[in-house]
Amino acid sequence: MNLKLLFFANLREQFGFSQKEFTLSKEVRTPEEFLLIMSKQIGGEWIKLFEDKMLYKVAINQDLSSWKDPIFEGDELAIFPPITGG
Amino acid sequence: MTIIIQEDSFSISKLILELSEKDNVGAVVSFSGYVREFSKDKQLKYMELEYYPGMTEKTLESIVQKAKSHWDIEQITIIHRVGKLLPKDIIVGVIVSSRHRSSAFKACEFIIDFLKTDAPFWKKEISDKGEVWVAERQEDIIKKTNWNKLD
Repeated sequence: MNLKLLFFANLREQFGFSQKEFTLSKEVRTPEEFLLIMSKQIGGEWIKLFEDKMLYKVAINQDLSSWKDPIFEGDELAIFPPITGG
Repeated sequence: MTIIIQEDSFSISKLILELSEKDNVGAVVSFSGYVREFSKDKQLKYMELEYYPGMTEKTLESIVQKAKSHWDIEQITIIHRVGKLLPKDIIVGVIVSSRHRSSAFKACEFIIDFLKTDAPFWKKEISDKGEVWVAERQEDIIKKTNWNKLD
């Protein structure tokens, strides 16, 4: 399963990238499950992000979503802190 | 509807004039936001603003559509800067024109309240005390929630 992941603000700085393509060996059903798999496979800061996920927001294909919303092949996921524009 | 996201500065008065010259305009209301030089106990050196290209524009369009569904609006311009901003720089402008003032006042406030909490922009402050990503303000969330009674 292929997913595009975007990070913004402090997450972009912590993880050292703003966007990356991921190819996962099995289907992932939700953004929450994606973080769980990354935290198991890679560990490190992914574990912290999985634990702290409620402090962050997630968008699926540029629509604000919840951690338990469905994701599909080729989707664009974005994870970012609360918004502070204006 | 005009939505602009850019690094360059802009003239709010020029944008107000542009809307005032269009047909059917009896009122133009504008909001402009600026970078404060002090934030709590810190003296700001500069600010960095980033956004989510695509989603930010899409969210702003949706906020404008909601405003148009509630009030009788002629034109709306939203302009937001990104990149490096210095103290006192203009950050954001919201300009709304309508036939009568009440719609323009309300729609302008509605748009900036939703922009603050829903449109993906993030601010980082670089001050004499170091660097910090700005946290969301409870007051902004309350302001947005207060509009719920409209729906």
